[in-house]
Amino acid sequence: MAQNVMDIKKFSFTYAGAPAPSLKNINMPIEKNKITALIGPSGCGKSTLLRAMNRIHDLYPGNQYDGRIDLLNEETGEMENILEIKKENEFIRLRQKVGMIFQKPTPFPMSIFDNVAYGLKIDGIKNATELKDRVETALKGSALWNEVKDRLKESAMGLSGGQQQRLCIARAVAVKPEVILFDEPTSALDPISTGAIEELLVELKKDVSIAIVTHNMQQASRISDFTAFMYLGDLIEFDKTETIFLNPSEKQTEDYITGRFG
Amino acid sequence: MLENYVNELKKVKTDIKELLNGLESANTLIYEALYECDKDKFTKAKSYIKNISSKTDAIDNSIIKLLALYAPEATDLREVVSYLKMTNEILRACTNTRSFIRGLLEVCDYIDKNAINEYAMPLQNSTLKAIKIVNSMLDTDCVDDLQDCFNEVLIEENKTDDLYELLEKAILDESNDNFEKVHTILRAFRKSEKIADRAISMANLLVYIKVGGTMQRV
Repeated sequence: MAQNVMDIKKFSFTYAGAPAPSLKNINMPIEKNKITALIGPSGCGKSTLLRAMNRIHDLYPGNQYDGRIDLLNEETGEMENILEIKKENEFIRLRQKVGMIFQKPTPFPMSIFDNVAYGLKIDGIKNATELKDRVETALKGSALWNEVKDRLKESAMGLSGGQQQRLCIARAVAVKPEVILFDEPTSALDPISTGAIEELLVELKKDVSIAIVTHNMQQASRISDFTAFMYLGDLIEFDKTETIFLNPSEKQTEDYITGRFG
Repeated sequence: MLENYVNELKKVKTDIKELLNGLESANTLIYEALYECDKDKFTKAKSYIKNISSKTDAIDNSIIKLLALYAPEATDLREVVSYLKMTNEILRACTNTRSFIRGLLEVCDYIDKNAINEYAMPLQNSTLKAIKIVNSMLDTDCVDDLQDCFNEVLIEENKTDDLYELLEKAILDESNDNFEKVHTILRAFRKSEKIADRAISMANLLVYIKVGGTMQRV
């Protein structure tokens, strides 16, 4: 039976100082080992929702959360509300469990090896052999190992855009997260690198659950299992990707995916 | 291309191949049963093409899903669209085969053996060959081989046109003013000729996948 790794219930979000909420009463699951795509026109709140899923908004104070975002605790099997997190070390643990990849690749100005080992070191892994093994596994899992295995000590800044993005994925994968959030991960990449990342995402979902924000509807239809269509802070429709792209129930969804508005 | 797309397209191709195999088996059995008017074989032939509508519907829905989710382009698009049109051709070829069997079960005892030997069997043989060649084209990647196969199907299809005309003449010459029976016989064999028409349309679509250009009827 399908299991949810995240469950968003009656969730609303208001940015600090904003007069009205940017997200209103969102209800949707993130199914385990599936790819869930968030689509919608600019300003609909899809990135805001994605960023709420690992509380990255909290890097700036004053935002207001309402409702629940439950995350599955793999050890206990219980769902825990991440909106109740307050302590800094809990935030670090949350972001290890729920990793994030941004639109623009964000390698650290250090070697390829150190980029991937960074999160592992924060996690307390100091043994050199274990670090080496985990870095190698993460790079292999991100389909980058063959391209970088001979230059692990070189700067990550020398990699191409597509390689940098895969390195960021390797960095996220290395700490064995339960969910990875992708915020338009291919919008700054050429079609070949985009294809490589898409193939990687489909491969990654065997081990991790994925939520992805994309403006590219073909990308959403190609790789996702579920799709959520958002508009002006509301979740208009959530269903299997096949249903959304073939037989959407809402006219707004149909108008958007057929290019009639947005 | 994504693995999901490749696998789903492969499944569509496999399903089409299965339908073509059924069509080929049914028409092989008809050919074998023709001379002796073996009604058991005619009945068995029907079993190879049963539930054809639901099978082609399932393939069509898979193709629509492929188009909606993966937006294939160039050769991939030609391939998917050709398969969508091919299922219709297969469905109609199978419907014609079923009508052919029904007609033969009704009247094959009354057909002159000479006419069967001389025209009906070669007619069905050409139809069968056309189907077999189309079936083999589905596994052919070489453009030159595909063009050769297409030409062979075209020859067989032309032969069915000519043989049907000759059969028509022979049966009308032999008929003893039983118009209804003659009409049923000719209507039955007309279906064999129609199956060959479907084969040439399918061959044309299979060439279109590899060669491209504009889609046009033969």
